[in-house]
This record gives sequence, structure tokens and C-alpha cells, in this order.
Amino acid sequence: MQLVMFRNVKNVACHMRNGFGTASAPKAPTMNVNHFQKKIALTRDIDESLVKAALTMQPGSQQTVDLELARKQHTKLCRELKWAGLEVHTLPSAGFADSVFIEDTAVVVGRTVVLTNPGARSRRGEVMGVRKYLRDHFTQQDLSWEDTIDIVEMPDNGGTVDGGDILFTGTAPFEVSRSCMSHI
Amino acid sequence: LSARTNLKGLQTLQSAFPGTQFITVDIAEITDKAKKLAAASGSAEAVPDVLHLKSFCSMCSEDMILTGGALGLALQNALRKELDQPQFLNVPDVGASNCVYVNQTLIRRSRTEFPNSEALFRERIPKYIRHVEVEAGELAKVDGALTCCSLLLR
Repeated sequence: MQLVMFRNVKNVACHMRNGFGTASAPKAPTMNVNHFQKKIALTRDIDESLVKAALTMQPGSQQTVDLELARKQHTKLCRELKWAGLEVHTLPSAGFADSVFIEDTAVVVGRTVVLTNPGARSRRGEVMGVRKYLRDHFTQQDLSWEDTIDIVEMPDNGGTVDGGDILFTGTAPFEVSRSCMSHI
Repeated sequence: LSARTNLKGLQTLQSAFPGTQFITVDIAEITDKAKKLAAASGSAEAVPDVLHLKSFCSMCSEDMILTGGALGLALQNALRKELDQPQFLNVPDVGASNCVYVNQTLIRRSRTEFPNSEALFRERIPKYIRHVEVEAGELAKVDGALTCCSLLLR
């Protein structure tokens, strides 16, 4: 518990300094740190190969995706993230059919970003682009401590995590799903 | 294709967040229970096979967990045992249960896509939260939801 508390305390300090806390929100519940107050959204373009090669629960359904419409809907989502006060940074899809689903490549809690080892083999390379981006933008020496992040790598020990399986509930509880999994 | 997260991965993740409480649920188990729930209530709802945990839940305020369909109810049952005074909102549409909640804005699937969930969103979400509706039917065909498309930092 101590480590998490420590992090939270630091975060509060950062929020106050930036005038970015919950003070402007009259009715919002106040907590020691608001994990639902964010400044940056990292997104990824939709790769052309999605319609051929995206993984899916129902085989064949990727071929029914209207790429143009999908991109339009995705652009609208990014625009709404901007309207919600986030700076939106979009990475290229880098040829990965599923890379638009960037959530699966990392688990973020406060300043800590764990880069995952996605459960699907074909998706593991997606992490590279995210890692590079995070290193280039959030770990430089000249940034203040609050603006940097800690990148944590998962060891290559057969463990897999998709970020889409992790729900961070904001306070202490942190909920995780396990699947009765196949491939390791 | 089955889901993507295994026990070893979770153990590694837990070690990155010491002191944080992790609650682990098995999606296959939740799906089984959801099917039983749906059958017992005599509803015609087909319980879909889902890819990720967040295929049927997400946060919809600072302290409310949004869930969807019979899967969502089964998840709530599992979590009630683990969480202290959890607040839940279950909407009928599984697809409507994945929203992005950030900066007091709830980005959710549009009412044209999920009309049956609309009233509950309007009634139960705290009033200070701004609602934004988007359509995402195309990426949903490849099991994509709204939270899938971004990582929120800082």
C-alpha cells in the first residue's frame, strides 16, 4: 500500500501546481487523486490490412468492415477526445492489422505504464511503436518529474496481458480478467 | 480465438503495482454464469462470446462501474463479493457498456446504435458529466470498443 499512497501524494502535488485538480468541478467527488482527469490520449491510425487480417471472434467478420466508414468513426472519436480536453497524439499503424486497438499494448496507472506482452502473437510487434513513442516523449531528462512516466517492461516468461482485460477502477481496487487461456 | 490474458501475465502486472488490490475474474466462468442467468430469467438475450473484460464493462464516472447485458450482471455478482460498496450500472446492450470516461466527459455509443440503453444513461449517470455520443459500428465488427482506441496518459 505504501508505494501506491506515495504515488498518489505526488500526483496530488502535481495537480495542484498545475491548477488541474478537481476544484473547477463543483459536484465531482473529490478523491486524493483523480485518475479520470487526463491530458494526453495516444491513438493509432487504422491499418488498411484490418479488413483482411484483423483478429476477430467471428471468423470472416473483418471482411465486412467498411474501411472508410471505420476511419470516419475513428476520426470522430479522436475529435471528441480533443473536445474533452485531451491532446491527441496519433501513431502510424505500422502495418499491424489490429494496432488501432492501442489500449491492449499498455496498462497505465498514474505515472506508471506497463508495456504488455499481448496474448495474440501477431500483435506483439505493436508494442514497439508505443514503446518508442513513450520513450521519446515522456522520459527526457529535461522534463519535470511529474511530466515523465515510468515505463515497465513485462519479462518474456510466457505471461501475456491485453490492456483490454484490465479495468482500473480509480481507487484501490483494480480488476483484472483472466481467460481460460490457450496459447502461451 | 479465446481471450488474451493469462495468470502469469497478471502476476507480472501485479508486481508492477505493489499494494494495489487486484480482483481476478475468469471470463469463461462469467460467460457461463451469464448464460444461466439469461436462461433463468427466460430472456431471449443471446449471451455473446466476448474477447476482453472491457468488452462488457468500463468506468462511467469516478466511482461507478458500467456493465452490459447478462454478462454485466454476472460480473456484478462476482465483484460484489470482492468490492466494498461498489456502484454499478447495468445497461441492456453489451455493446453500450464500453465507454471512455475522462475529464468529466462520458464518450459512449450513440442512441441510434443502442436505443435501449439510452434512458438508463440519462437517469443514472451523475449530472455533472457531459455525454458525448459516437458511432463505432465498424470497428465493433472486429471486437473493437471505444476504450480500445486510446491510451490515456498524465
